[in-house]
Amino acid sequence: MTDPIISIKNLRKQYGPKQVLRGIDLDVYPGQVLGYIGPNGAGKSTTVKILCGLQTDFSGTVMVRGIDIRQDPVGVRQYIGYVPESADLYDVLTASEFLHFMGALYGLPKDTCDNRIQKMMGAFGMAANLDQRIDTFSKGMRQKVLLVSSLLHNPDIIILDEPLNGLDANSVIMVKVDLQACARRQNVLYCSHMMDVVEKVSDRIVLINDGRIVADGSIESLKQQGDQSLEQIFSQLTNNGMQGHAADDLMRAFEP
Amino acid sequence: MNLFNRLFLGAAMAPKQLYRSLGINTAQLKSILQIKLEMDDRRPSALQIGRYQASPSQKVKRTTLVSMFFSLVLGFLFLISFRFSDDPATQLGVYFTFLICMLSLMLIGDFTSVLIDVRDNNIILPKPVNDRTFLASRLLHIMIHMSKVLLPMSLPAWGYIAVQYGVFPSIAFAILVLLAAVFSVFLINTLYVLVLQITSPEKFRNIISYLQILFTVGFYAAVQIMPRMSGEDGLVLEVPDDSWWKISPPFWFGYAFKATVGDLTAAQMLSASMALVGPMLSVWFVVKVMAPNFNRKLAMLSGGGGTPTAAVPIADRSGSVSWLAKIASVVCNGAAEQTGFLFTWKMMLRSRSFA
Repeated sequence: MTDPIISIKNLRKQYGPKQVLRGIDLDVYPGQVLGYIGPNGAGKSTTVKILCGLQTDFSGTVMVRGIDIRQDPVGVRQYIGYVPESADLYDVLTASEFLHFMGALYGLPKDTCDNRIQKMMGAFGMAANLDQRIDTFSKGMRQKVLLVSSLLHNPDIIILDEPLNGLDANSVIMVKVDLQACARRQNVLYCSHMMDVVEKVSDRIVLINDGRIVADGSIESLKQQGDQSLEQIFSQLTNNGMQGHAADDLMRAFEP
Repeated sequence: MNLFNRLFLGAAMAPKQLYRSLGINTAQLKSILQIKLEMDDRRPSALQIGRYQASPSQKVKRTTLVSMFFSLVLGFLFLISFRFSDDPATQLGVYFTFLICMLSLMLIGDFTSVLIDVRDNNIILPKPVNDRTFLASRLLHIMIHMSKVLLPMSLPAWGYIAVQYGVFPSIAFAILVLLAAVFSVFLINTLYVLVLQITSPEKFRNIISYLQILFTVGFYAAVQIMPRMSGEDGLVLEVPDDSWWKISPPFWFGYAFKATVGDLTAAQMLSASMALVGPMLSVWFVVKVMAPNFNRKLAMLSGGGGTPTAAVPIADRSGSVSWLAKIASVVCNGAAEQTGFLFTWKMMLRSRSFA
């Protein structure tokens, strides 16, 4: 087997007294689309932030393309395209200005940058909006700008934290197709709550709960225990059977 | 990008070799500064915010020119301090009181958007930008930002001093203005750190806006009170030697200026030397003592609001609301009116944008 492109060993992280990650071990191999799922507060975004070199006060080792992220976080970031959960953009800029700025930070030559911005924004149906300010955009349009900004430098690894937030049905289909196309050349780490999308685009699923990996495998291997959807498996492994009562409790609220 | 921004950017990027030797990526640094200055130009300033709120669709442009012009007008207003007294120390003491107060007031609001632009954490930091480049971009941005206020604000007095006192005092004045600016940054930083010490980061932004209101009230109060402090003919201001004002930072700069045009007593010399020692000490204090704590707190601020608050047990909630509900039932008729009253009451206490 080839060397893993991402290798995480015994990753632990705590915020104050709260232990967020309790020993994550994960190897990701080239060409994989990894669905990284878990309930709110399970540690998904923390793992992603560590992978992007945004948080360095963790224990354990994280290697990306053989580079230790503690030693050279800037080197690692060159290979990563990150779409953060909070769709932060400098919204007084136009889409074109913002994307050129992103290209400049990656050291892309201006011509290459121009060319890619035109083509990518065109593919998202936003070629006509390039010179409009981002503060006039809808949520979906902002998300598209964010996606383009993370793909601009043709990264080896794409990390997406809830990338479909606010996208309309057509754009969701487009992003899904796009992700599968990307997976032919790049690695994708996909964090989401949207099980149906994760199920369709990922060829390996890692489920974390309370800072630990509770399931890891292809969707087929996870389903072997019974004919269940990913949603049901997720619920079984993370919900501790609370859901059954929730609906009853909710209905009881209408009783006098 | 307008002419002033281009000039400031050119000046900031001049020592390229030095930056490179410090491990800074100059191409990235230039890109970041360029985009930050462009954004500054489109962000409504304190002056334009009213207009912006009235019609948000109207895009703000040329903030730089507007705020530089406003600073220039203020600079001319500050010239009044030279009419209060014949004593250069008092003239400059009053001038620097105006300058430090106004500079702090104008920058304290901007610092929250410049220093605490939490979006940078998600936009610039995930890119291959090293810490030094990022830090340098922030420092240079702040310096350019301050220069845009400081240059036009001090220009009229600088011209006046050059004509009235000569070339050497005017050079000394320029240096003193820089030192006063450094001291103002220290004041702002101290306020931020104090505020962060005594409260949670979530309330930080609210408190900053209260501080701005206090500063404004203070400045206008000073404008009102000062003429009343002056003598019979309404123009002469005599500050007694044992006044607290005379040992306050503005008078450090006043005496330091007087040292270039006249003689000082030993006590005045001590005060004048503080003009140099004070800002230097404040830089040391900010870098060594405050910055680490400040950065840690800022990280909390950007982390989405620090520690989650514990859930309040249901039993505890009823007590605090009931007396308010009683008032509502006394002063209002009907459930809708009472709900409106309670809603307004709570919004008034919890949201500063509620008006």
